Amino acid sequence: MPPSGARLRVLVPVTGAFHGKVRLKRNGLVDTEGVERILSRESAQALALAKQLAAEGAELVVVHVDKGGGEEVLREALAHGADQGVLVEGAEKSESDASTRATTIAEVYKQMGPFDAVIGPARSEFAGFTGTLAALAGQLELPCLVGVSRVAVDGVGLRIAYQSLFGDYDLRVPRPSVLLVGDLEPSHPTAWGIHDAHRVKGILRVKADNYTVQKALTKRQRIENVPQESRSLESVDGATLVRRLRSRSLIAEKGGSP
Amino acid sequence: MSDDLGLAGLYATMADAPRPAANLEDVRGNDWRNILVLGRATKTGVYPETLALVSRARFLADELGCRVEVLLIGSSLDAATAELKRYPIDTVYRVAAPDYAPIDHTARILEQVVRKRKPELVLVFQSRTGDAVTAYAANRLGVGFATGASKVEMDTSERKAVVTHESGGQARFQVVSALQVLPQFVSVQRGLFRAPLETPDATVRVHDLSVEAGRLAPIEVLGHKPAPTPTLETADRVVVAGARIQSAAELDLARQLAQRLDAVFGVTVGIVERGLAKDEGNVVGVHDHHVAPRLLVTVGVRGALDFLEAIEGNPLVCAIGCEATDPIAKRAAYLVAGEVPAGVASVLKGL
Repeated sequence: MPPSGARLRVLVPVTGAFHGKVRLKRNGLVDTEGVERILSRESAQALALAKQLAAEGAELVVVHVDKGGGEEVLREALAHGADQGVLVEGAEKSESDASTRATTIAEVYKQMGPFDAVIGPARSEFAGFTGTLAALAGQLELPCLVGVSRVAVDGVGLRIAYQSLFGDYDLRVPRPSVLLVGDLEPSHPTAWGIHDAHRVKGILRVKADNYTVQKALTKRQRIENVPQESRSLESVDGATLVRRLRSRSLIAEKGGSP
Repeated sequence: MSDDLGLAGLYATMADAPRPAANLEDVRGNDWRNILVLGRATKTGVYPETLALVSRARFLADELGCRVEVLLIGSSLDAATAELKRYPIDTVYRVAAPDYAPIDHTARILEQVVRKRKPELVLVFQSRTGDAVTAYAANRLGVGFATGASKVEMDTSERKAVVTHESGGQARFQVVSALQVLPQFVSVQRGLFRAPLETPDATVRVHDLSVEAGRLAPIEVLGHKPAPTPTLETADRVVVAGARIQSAAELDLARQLAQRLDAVFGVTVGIVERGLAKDEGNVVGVHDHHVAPRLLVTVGVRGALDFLEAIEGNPLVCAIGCEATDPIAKRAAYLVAGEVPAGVASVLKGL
């Protein structure tokens, strides 16, 4: 925790997304030829949440584990108003999963900290990042909150609002905490932000630990096109329709809830 | 108990005394076996997705020749335990915890139970919290995990899970991943599986486990509101009434159907223009009112372009009271043809 009067620091891990038509090659790999990498929508939402703390004077440090086209992604994140950018290089060619990324980001957290909060997206396009920040919380033994839509400084802690299946909660949480962004309007870059991101702000490049990035605990076997569900129209009576819907768990069983 | 049961009465008496076993010894060695489902208790039983996961776990356990175990975490778990005893489960573990348990608390309890009982596969149902608990607990055990699975299969020779999940982003793909290290943690999408059939002779063992979750972060609940009621845009089930409806009585039947299905009720532009329904902010296809449910039931809807374009995602469409030549029939999977009152009445009777 920073001494009284020190500037609040927030680490914002971000992910990239493909911009354009992505196709699959015959070997089950993604054909990214001529497709740009941009900041993912979920990351822009995370930046929007982090900027709520920036309004209270927090310094936003964006970190991105480069899986190709990382600098563009990071500069776009800087254009959203982040103060510093950290690009973790060396993981492009290895098949790193969420666990290895969590370890890599934990290293950045330890080396560049202390931070008062980690704010980031809950998922990524090909799910490589999905679960990373919760895993990071587990590794750093920090509390983890999901679906966060509002955050503010509250004494020595943070006051947050989050939504879940079971209702909306207002919580006071300690610093540091890991906050996964919920449904929030994404942040947008400003013209000066774009200018600064490309002409003024530098990027700190750090090397990923070779051993860590090669120790994937989940192996991606292949990527497939989602099979088109062919539905031929079936003419049924009411009772049959109800049976069909129950067998697909689309409606409640008798006397139960779905 | 009646006296005419003979010896069966004796067995029934013995069976009626299930008691939580105490001092359950931890599983030793490195033999990771059995499938553990992280259940969620409600005041009256368990959350339906718990039973759906039990169903999938039972299927996989039968393939692997192992047991299905359910972990319940909470303060009042008797109703949930009683409900689980009716299903094909081998063991229920119960761990006492406050009603509001933060993610790190739940995850650490799960981690401790996994360390004690050594299951090879842990299934959690997907939600934001479920995903986070899965990742948190897996990372503390130093193993991999997969979230949002739409398919969970087992490589029975290796006893390793092969998980399929859909990618996000603009293009939609299926990503197939294999977990490499035991224990394996998977969060599974909701609504994929049906609850298993009740097993009248199920013998479910119940164990109260004592688990030390360690030092926890001080999280204070300042306010809690129940989840907002689903709207036309957010609901999982939607019933829409259309212009084939001839009278207020028929419209009322459609409303009844929505109520029985626990669905949000909407109307089409056509029925509003005919003066049978009012625009109460529930007209699908105008004012940017889109629907993206899992189940869309149309009653007397022909399928005008504005309505069809307001359907997002890939819902299962059931058309009641229309003809096979109507445009809606091209999107529908099921058709209850004929007049609206007869069609709706037959579905209501089936419910």
